[in-house]
Amino acid sequence: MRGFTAVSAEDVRITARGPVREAAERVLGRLWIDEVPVRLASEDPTLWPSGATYPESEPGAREPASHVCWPAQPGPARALLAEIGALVERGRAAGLTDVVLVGSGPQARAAELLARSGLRDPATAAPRARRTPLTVLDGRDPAPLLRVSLDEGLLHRMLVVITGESAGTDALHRILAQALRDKGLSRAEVAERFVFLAEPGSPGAARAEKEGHTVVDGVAGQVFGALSPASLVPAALAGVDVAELLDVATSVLPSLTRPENNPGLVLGAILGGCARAGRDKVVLGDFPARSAGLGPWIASLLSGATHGGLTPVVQQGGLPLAPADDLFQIALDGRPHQDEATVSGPLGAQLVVWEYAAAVAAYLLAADPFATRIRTGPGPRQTRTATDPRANTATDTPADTPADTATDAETDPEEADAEEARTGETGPGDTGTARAGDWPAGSPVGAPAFTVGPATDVIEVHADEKLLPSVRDLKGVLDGLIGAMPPDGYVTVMAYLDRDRAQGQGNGVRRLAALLASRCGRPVTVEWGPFYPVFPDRGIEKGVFLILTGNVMHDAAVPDKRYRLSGLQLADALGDVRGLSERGRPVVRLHLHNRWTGIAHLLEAARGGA
Amino acid sequence: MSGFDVLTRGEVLDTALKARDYLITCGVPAALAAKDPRLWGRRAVDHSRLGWLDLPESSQALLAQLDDLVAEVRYSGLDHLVLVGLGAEGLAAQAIIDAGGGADPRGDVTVLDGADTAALDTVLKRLDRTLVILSSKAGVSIEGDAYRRVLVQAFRDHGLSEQEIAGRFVVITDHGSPLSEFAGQCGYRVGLTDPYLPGHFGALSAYGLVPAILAGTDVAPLLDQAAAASSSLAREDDNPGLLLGAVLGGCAQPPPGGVVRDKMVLREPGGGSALTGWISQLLATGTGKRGRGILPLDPAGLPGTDTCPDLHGIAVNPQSPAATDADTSLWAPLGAQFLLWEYATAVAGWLMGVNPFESAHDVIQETEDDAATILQNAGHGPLPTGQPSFVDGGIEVYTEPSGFDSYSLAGGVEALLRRVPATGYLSILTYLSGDFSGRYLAPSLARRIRRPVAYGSGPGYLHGTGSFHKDGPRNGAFLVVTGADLADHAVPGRPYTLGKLQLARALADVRALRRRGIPVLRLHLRDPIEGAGRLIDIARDAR
Repeated sequence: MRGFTAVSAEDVRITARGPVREAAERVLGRLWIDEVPVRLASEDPTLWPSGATYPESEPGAREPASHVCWPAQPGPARALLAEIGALVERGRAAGLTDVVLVGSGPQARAAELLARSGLRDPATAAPRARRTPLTVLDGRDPAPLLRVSLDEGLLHRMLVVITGESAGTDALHRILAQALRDKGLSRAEVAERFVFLAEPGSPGAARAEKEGHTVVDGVAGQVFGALSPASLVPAALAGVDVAELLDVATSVLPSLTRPENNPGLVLGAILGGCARAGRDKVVLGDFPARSAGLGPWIASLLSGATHGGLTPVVQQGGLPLAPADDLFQIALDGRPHQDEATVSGPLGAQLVVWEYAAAVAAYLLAADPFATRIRTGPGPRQTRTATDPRANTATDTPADTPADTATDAETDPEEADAEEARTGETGPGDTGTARAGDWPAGSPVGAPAFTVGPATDVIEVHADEKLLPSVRDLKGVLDGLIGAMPPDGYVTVMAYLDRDRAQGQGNGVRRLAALLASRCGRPVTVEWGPFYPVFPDRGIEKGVFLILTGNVMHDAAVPDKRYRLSGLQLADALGDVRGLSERGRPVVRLHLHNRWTGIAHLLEAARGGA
Repeated sequence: MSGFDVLTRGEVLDTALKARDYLITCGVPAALAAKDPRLWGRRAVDHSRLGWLDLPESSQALLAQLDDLVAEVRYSGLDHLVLVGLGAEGLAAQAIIDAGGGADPRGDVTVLDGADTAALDTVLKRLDRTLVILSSKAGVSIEGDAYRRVLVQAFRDHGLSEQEIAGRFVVITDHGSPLSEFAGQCGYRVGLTDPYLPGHFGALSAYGLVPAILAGTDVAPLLDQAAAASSSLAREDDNPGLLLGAVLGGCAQPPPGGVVRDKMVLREPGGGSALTGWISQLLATGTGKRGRGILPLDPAGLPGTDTCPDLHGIAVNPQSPAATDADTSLWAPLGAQFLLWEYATAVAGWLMGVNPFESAHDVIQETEDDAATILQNAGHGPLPTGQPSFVDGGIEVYTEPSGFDSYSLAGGVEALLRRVPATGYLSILTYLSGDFSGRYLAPSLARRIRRPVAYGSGPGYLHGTGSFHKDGPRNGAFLVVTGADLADHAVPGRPYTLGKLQLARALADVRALRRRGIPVLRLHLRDPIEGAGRLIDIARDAR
């Protein structure tokens, strides 16, 4: 079975062979009968109720639901090109060459991807620069933030783009502003360093304007926002030619309106068809030497759009995975005669095609991608709503307006989140060490089931007694967790740590995933907390979860607030643990008192005796 | 490109036609078509000696068997292939990958054949994505063992579990070889091949195909091309393989009163590819024995036009017969080339009265054992390199007592050049890391001595072609260049480093050549970069 079928349009090429091709062919008829290409092109609100962009289609809507990013739409961002250009000019004139992006979800991943692709010349793939001028702060870990706020040089040349409103972004905003003020910048100078992405008229925009920040019309927390201002603005400020990118993206649009030979439709049929045929985990072969590093973005796009109907596993090389009946593979720039499916093409065009395909897959899996609430807010509160999987879809229109989102965000830091975070207070000082083990019993941290390791670098094991009966070592913990996995299951390692490869625990966690995959012969995914998207409707009932938290060496206090960043982070983690437990998922939390030695112990345990 | 054609002209044509008629009269093509090996002597009676004729078909089954492995490797994101294999095994895989026509132009393949220790550094940077293929027909070569140890240690240091490490190795070897047993114990995946299949004929066997497939080459069209060629090889008339064999074998036979044309220049458009390397080892091993043999040469090592009557040229896929000054032009799709040359070698071997299927195993084993002894005796200390005859500007010169008349590098080289026989050749062997190779010296030295110059690097060159150089006509003179290694790697569990191993190999090869009375000059560059520059200057210095 070496033959394959290819669909190409404007340099984008999709191939499929074997069972994946058959699965895709089986659903193409359905997509044709339902006229999905036409409806997607016309932004038909009947595809997904909460995706309406026109007020007249929603008689009860209080205001235009313009906050929705429809998939594969480079159009709206084009209107902002002049404004983006002016921003870039201003930043360049002021010598602000580095961008710090505060945001998460697919849009932040897309911005990161674009900035990284800007490092290479698209024609020759020759490196243009050695370092990406974009830093994404998407978690609550203090370490990446401190790398920014303690870097004298970076502080002098950074521009901060803030997308989304939540306690987390608010805290990062406050800390970065304080760091700049401490450098002796005046209030006005500090204000000029921040760019907010917000909808005009929203409370967040009003507040940012009052403080003198630049506000760009845009909305964060979108599944289909790779070509929206929330990703293009930071990318442009980091030196990416977004006009050219949009041109490439636009050039592929005509092919997406076709009923036949439509690369987006075919890719969507591959994704949705395979999931419907029982292959609900997609291995994204993202070989760093070849593709631009699309994998992480595609993964967040797919799990967001399909609500976990598809579980993406990003393969960046070396994660041992065996083919199985519940897996399929899509290789980026792969080998058409060997890989089950491949996608290749220029970056701008791929952004469009993948979003379109994710929308098609969502349609086939009856998931409403617009109902996905990407967490921009903190853990505990969101988790509570998320425990009812129907909660989101029930809020079809009125409750889902931007005003309401904003209210959420406004109350969040004051209420639920701060409440949990405050528990983490251990005393005054800017760089105190939060020691979870010192916390009083009855706190949300809870008492560990048992601990392992010497006193200085203890690993606390938090797990349900039923899950790990009579287990007293790390190897037993890992085996117990793996043993609780269904035959077609997977392991998710969810790390609330520093994701940086070298300076943080990025490499260690990745290695842990590979060791676990080798140990259990099943896919292992890595998520960096806070978990995104907040527990989807489905797709997690096959997962078992290993949650890693750790003490921080240096914490960051949030100015004018009574909590610190690590408190927020731990609150997120505990919220996720609780949410998962409530849904009956096997979950183990390991709290590493010393992150470095803790990871080393874990790796040792995972390596041994297999 | 689907047609097969061999065009030849001039004197070579007459010789070839006579040889072809003789071959047909004696029933050689008929015997090959009937897969009857008796013509090649009693020792070759085993029918699997002609198993290579069936490979285009029998290897189809291999493709299906490999599907699972390929899927697993692709799922696991191992897209960088390291091929550990010296001589025939490595060359076959490289030639197939090249012939695949760049289906995966950025396909990452690193060949570790003991020549360039710097190649290992690139591997160590990509451990996450690396799959290692150990390919050895006879068993564990010293280099194979050393690289395996280095890589296992590197994987371990990278944090891989033993189970993961075992998953990163694929071994291709013969049924019942020492390596197959060892690999089984380690939990490596093993691909076994027919031990009676001659190694130098194995391009379309697992040795060539498995690494190529894992590197992303679409080999199915290549096998189809070879299968298409095999039907034309069964004919007596219009059989391109027979004519090519007649050209090779006919020229290599001493004509009455004429000159033996036993040196063949292979011209490929765009310079020599891995195919040239593979054809060279096939011809050198297949014909180079019992004092006879065909010496394959690269155009870079030619002294200029018409100075060597013992040369003839073959152009592979030239744009037109007029576009080349080669005596013979050969057109065939790349997949068919392998079978065509194998057939021609079998025919040429018969004409020359040697058994083309006999492997070079003894010659290889001899130097390997020698190198092992040198390493064992040295232990942790330095290798017994002996005293240099003299040192000239950072280059140590090792030669026979009578091998020089002045204490200068130029004089030493000059003395060696004078010892190249009138019908012989010069051979440059480099055991160095980095870019420098005999290619930089060959053109100027060839012009100077008006004789062809062959060149190659590392232990791999003699591994592949040593049969000719050592057991052939022995009319060569050898310039062996070794050097201090700048970036060396220790071999875990062994008292030597990769650089030391390379030097031991060079010493063993020098000994093996001297034992046969072949003139050898060894130059040791204390500073490889500066020394290489001086060598190039000396080679260019026309007298």
